[in-house]
Amino acid sequence: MGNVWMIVADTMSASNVAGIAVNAGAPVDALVFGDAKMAEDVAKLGVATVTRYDVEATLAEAYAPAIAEKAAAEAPAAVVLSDNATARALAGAIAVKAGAAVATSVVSVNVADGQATVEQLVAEGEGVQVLKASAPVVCVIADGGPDAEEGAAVAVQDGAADAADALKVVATNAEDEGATGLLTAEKVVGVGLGIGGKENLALVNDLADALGAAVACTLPLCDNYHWFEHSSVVGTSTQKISPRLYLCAGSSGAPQHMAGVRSAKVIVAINNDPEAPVFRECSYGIVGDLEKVLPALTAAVKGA
Amino acid sequence: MTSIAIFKWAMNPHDERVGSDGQIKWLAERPEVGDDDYAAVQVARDAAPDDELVGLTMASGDTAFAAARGAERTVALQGVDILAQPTEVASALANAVKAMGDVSLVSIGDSAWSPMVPSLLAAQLGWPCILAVDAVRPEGDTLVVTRRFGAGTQDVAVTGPVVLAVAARREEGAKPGMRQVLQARKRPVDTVTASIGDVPTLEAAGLREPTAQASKLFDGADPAAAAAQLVSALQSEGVL
Repeated sequence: MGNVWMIVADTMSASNVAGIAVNAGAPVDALVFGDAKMAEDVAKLGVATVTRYDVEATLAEAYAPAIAEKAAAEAPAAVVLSDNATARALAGAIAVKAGAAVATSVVSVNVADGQATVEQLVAEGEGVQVLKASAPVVCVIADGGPDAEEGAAVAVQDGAADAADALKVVATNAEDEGATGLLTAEKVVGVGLGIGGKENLALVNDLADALGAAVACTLPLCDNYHWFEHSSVVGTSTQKISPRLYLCAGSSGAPQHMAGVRSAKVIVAINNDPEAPVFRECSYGIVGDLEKVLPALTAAVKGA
Repeated sequence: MTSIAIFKWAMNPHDERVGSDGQIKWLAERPEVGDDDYAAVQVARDAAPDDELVGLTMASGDTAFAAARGAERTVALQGVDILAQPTEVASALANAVKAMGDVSLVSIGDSAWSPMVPSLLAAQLGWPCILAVDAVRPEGDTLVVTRRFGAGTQDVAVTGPVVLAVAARREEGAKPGMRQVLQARKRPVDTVTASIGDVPTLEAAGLREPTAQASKLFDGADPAAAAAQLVSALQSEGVL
């Protein structure tokens, strides 16, 4: 037991997973379930090895029993992953087969003498709990962790594993992909209930145009008000995004919404309530009337 | 055959606090209904319309949630500590499923409150697991599961028993009415003591304050000045 494994099944979270794994104090073996580009990107993140499993023809989850056997044989001290669904499906099998404990909302892992000490956020970020493992530990990282620094790439190896017969892909329906551009947008303006009337959406669209940003919304603006399509909703039950800039207009910062945007590099909040929880999660904020602040900000962006 | 829908099994993190004595405290002492629980019941019902549907919960108090949505009976697990770790919760659920015998499917919310329990449960049962499930449809001996995949969806064919972790896309549309709830409370509830196996756990070794990350707030009383300050800050960050 000694190395750290990181499991990557999506591009968005790979750097955050590596940011914690490569600082754990042990060599990192990356297991990538995705295309060659994803594996090549991971290979630059300071890891010792990268093994890529092809998921073009085979469901990644079908590899779970084989990957779990590999974990039991190699006994990593820690297995680090994001909350990506495929990564979690694989990690559950690993934990049971390798006899690992499990921690979530993890912000750091430290491996010494083959044993891991883990720090996890508790009480919605009010505290950090230190946990010691006497066995391997599976760590699901908290959103919004540090990115790994890029360096020289290591070689990518092709992984070979038996796939379980019980799961087969029938169809992949990607027609919605990119419909709103949120997943790939570098800048996003998000709208919450605090925007007031529907007529104020024009202020948001003007700012988004000035920024060259996509527009997202919170769940109530779609489900209750029907001002947006479901593909524009960001949050726990919909989609997570990771733009370089997320500007949040009129959202109080409900956990359901913020869970979808915490991976943004910079979060900006505009709200007239100085006690709004969103101001505890943003890098910058303006406390003020949206109807006055948004036009002023649009003008400032155009003049920059 | 039996399908199981698990509900009220995770603690709501909004209830977690750090007390003045530096210890973690919970405002509620029991699991709450999760956002995905209603969808988990729906998927279990859709997957096997002719099978017996059983609700499985860790809640005390009102245990009629699944019965009000079609479950014929409910099993309520008692004795799982509110501080139980994911491996322990999954063990308790897996042992309860095994005790029910001829089970073909377990449906559970893909809860952000406790994201590892569904896959741990599947692994402890020795079954495959699909997370982020939208819907299911039976096709002969096969179950076709639609799950989220990137920004789209993917259909996966499953043969044999499976654990499905269901992620609701929106709030429940038509909640059961009072009459359905009252009828549901008359359906059988078996209260059983949870059996937790010898599973690995982590030892708590301290609690500290998080590293302060102060937000920089600008006063919007002068919107133009606040906007200019913000734009300058974002330019310094390199995101504008």
